[in-house]
Amino acid sequence: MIKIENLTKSYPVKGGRHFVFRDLNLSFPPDVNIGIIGPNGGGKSTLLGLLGGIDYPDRGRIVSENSFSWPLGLKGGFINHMSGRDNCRVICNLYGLGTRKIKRILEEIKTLSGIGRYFEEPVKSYSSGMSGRLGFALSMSFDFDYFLIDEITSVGDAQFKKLAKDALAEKANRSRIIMVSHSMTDIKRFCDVAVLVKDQTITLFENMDEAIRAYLPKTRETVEDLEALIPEATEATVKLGPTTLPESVDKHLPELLALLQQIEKSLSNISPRKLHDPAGFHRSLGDVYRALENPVAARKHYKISGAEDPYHPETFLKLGQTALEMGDWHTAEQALTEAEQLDQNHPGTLRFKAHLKQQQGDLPTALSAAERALRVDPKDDQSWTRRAAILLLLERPEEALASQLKAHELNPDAPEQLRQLARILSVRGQIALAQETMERARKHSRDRSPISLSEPLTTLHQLLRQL
Amino acid sequence: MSALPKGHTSVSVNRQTPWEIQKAVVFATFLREIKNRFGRYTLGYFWALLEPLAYVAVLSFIRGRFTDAPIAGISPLLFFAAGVLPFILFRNLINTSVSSIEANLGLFTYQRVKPADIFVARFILECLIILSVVLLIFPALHYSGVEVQLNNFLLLVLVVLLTLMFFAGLGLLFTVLGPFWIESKKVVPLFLRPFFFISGVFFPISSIPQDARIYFLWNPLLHATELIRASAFANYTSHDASLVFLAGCGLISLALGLAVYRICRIKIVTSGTIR
Repeated sequence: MIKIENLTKSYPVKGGRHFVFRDLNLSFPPDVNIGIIGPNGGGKSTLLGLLGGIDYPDRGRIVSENSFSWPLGLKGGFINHMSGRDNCRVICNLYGLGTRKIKRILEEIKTLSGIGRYFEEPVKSYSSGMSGRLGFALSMSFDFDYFLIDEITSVGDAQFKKLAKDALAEKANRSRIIMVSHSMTDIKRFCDVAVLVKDQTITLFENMDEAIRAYLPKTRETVEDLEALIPEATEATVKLGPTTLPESVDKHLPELLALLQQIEKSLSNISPRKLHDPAGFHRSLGDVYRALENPVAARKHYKISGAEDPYHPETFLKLGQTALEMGDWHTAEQALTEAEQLDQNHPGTLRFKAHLKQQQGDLPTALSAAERALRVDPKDDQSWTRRAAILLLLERPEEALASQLKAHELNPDAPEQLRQLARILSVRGQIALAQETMERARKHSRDRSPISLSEPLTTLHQLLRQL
Repeated sequence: MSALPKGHTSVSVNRQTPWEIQKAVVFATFLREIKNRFGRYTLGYFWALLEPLAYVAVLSFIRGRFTDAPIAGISPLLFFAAGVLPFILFRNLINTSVSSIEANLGLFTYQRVKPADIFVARFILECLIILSVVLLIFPALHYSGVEVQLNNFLLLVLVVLLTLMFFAGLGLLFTVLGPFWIESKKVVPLFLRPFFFISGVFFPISSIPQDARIYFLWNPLLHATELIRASAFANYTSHDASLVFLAGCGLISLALGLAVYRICRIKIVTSGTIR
């Protein structure tokens, strides 16, 4: 049972205070898993911190008899120059465990975290995924009534995500979880009730779908309704994960795959230092995988390329876009940071930033990024389209329409842009015109030739010569 | 497939009393401080002992070049040791207090850790370091022929307690100051340096000219060093050092430290980079 009484929480900002919560009263039903959703900066993590007792309200209190874990997230609360083992030992000591028990637990943490020999290395040598894993494995050694989870399911690779999910599921008979996540799928899967944190209040929803509907902007529904009317339209707007291309797409495919296999094989045999231009090599390989719609492999090669040559903004943009398409926001954000460090005013970087922030629900930042991109390059139809999409989500359809028409002027035949135009028109109630536009979009995407693999093929031949 | 291995150990944390929690936290931070302070260096623990020993050796050597006469009735070695140790404790405590919040921000991720625990752990550690030097240095001096004669043990305990009270209050004050004023990490050590020269580390009060003495006597640390010598060593002659003044300073400093800590205890934890 968790009860929030008259809770007020604010932070000092320049020229006043920013109120996250104001005079809040709420009781959570006992013994349920709670999902916390809401826009960025709405106070989700603050709520988690308050529940975990590491942040304090200005007024009011949170009453509970239960024990809470520390918020599990990317930052592990570790000391950088100490090894993973020593760090875990300190925390076991904090929780008052005996020496013999600690010894046993440390071995279990080592196995569960799967970081192998890194367990003996200083934490500063860890990637953020690794310290997330270690923190998670460590927390599994304790039985808290509630595990507080701050986006941990977005850390690390698919394998670890699955492990984390299974481990949590196994804990389910003793412990409950309270999680913050951007992934509605995760929220729906783990949680029984949802709370929406938005506009200084918290609203409890017993019905998950209702909560998600309340969170996502209204326009999305309208668009979905329209797309139900025109079934084929959804086909391209819903981005699927890794897909396999049908053999018929291009006659080059078998040759391409054979070449790829050959390259991967020789790559594993030679040292990357032997390559003349390792960064360029991996970037091109990433491009090929991207064309083959294999984002996992593409992301891997872009990452290597970025590590080899951290001064090439294009690599980070490609990495970021690939990661974003896969829903890997963590990598996408890292890529954005890298790209921004190289050139903050690169139109591509700004456009990507707008895209990422839009996906994350941080619409004001997204909008300002898109507009900055347009100031640098006003002839960029993609930026106009991006801006229109954000304005639509902000429920400003008139401005969205103006922006989309500008994009249309610059590039009248792009199907993706026509589709969005149709959406905007439908939101404004011009259903007939919207249907007509959607029809045009469909025509254009049909006219487009099947994905051409000849370009990747040329790239691969060149790459093979380098090896 | 089972994600957690069979027989996976997990420990319930629900039935711990506040006292157990406090004990565990102070103990854990204490161990961590040890590891943090010494773990990185070869001969780690040795360095902590070396510094006071080096001070005493250098001061005695310089004085030995000029004269072998006792200072205020006791051997110069005893005199310097009894002056250097409280000064080093004072200096180390303040210096580590200023940076203690920043250095431990990561630990505040765990709700049971409070700044006071970290302060207590550091305080105990610093005191233990000095205590081990005391236990090393004085028996060593005794066996090497320097006459060490205890004067009034109970009075010594009282003086040491009052001195520690004074230090603890100041330490708390500077613990709170650290996160509010980041430059304090640079400024405070500068301010502490002159204390080596005005706190009677290498001279007795009686050697200060009468006119200047009233100003020097505002410094509680001077009283502390002087009183420690007077209560520890027979034959030591001391004037002007006042137990009442030291006790007053100790009480005021501790009360002030606790009050400021109480008022700011939440702010200093959230002031950092938790967000």
